[in-house]
Amino acid sequence: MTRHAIVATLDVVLLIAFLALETPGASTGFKFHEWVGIAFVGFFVVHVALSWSWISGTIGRLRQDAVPRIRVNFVLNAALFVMALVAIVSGFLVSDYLLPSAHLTTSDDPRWRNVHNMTASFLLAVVGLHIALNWNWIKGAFRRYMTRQSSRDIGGESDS
Amino acid sequence: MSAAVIDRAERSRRRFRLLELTVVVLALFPFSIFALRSSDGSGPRLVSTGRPGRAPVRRELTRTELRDRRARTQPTLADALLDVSIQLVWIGLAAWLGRRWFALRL
Ligand code: HEM
Repeated sequence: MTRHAIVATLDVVLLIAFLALETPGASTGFKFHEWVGIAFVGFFVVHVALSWSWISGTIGRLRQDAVPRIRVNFVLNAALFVMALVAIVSGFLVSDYLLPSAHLTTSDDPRWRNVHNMTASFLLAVVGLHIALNWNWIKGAFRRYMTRQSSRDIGGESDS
Repeated sequence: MSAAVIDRAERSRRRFRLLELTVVVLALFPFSIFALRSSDGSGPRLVSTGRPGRAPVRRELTRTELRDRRARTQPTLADALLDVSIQLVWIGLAAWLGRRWFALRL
């Protein structure tokens, strides 16, 4: 698997986990929601780690004369990072199964639940914008995947 | 009229239409959130607690009350599909609007 393929696969997994997390009532149930939340933390850390060269490169470029697209992308990604962090931390704070089952006391303060629910809701919009700004990358990855599939179908080479 | 003027008029017309669309979407978002966040079918998360003769005070359910309610509701596959689809629509709308804004301005 190429690095590109790994990143793209992880992104799809991340999106599926995110969608499951966004619908605990109807899809996962609240107990499983917390397990998916923990798995999400792992995917999220790897996603950020794989983007590390972009992050450090962009910080360098911001100090010089970065074009507006780069600035907007950086601000959006920073917002996404902070909001995901708030959703995760507040999720642990209101945990109803996992932490209590490890004998850790969590909060029953509705304000923390609201923080969790609100950041989760606004994350939907920010994730949409994140997809919008990286649309060309996504299209490219999809095209590459389709080309590899069709070259495999006609007995061509694969790059795994 | 010169081509540059027409171009500028067209751009500002497009920008205005996009702004209108964005305002409509932003206005719908809170409705969707408040409807969605009782996606387990358990209804509003507020209860009235009023003493006789006093106006009722609204308070959020406690964790135990929420857990009890959720235990009583069994979402179906159709509920799950509908809920996931609604989230996808929101992500899609944000992505679509975002792409149009970015195309105009970036
Ligand atoms: C980015 C990650 C996460 C997202 C997007 C997310 C999303 C959500 C959403 C949308 C709800 C709303 C439930 C409702 O319909 O009322 C919720 C509730 C909840 N989440 Fe998460 N969650 C995340 C991570 C976590 C984690 C890591 C934990 C704990 C380990 C957690 C624990 C909970 C709990 C206990 C509730 C129930 C709280 C309540 O009654 O409102 N979440 N989450």
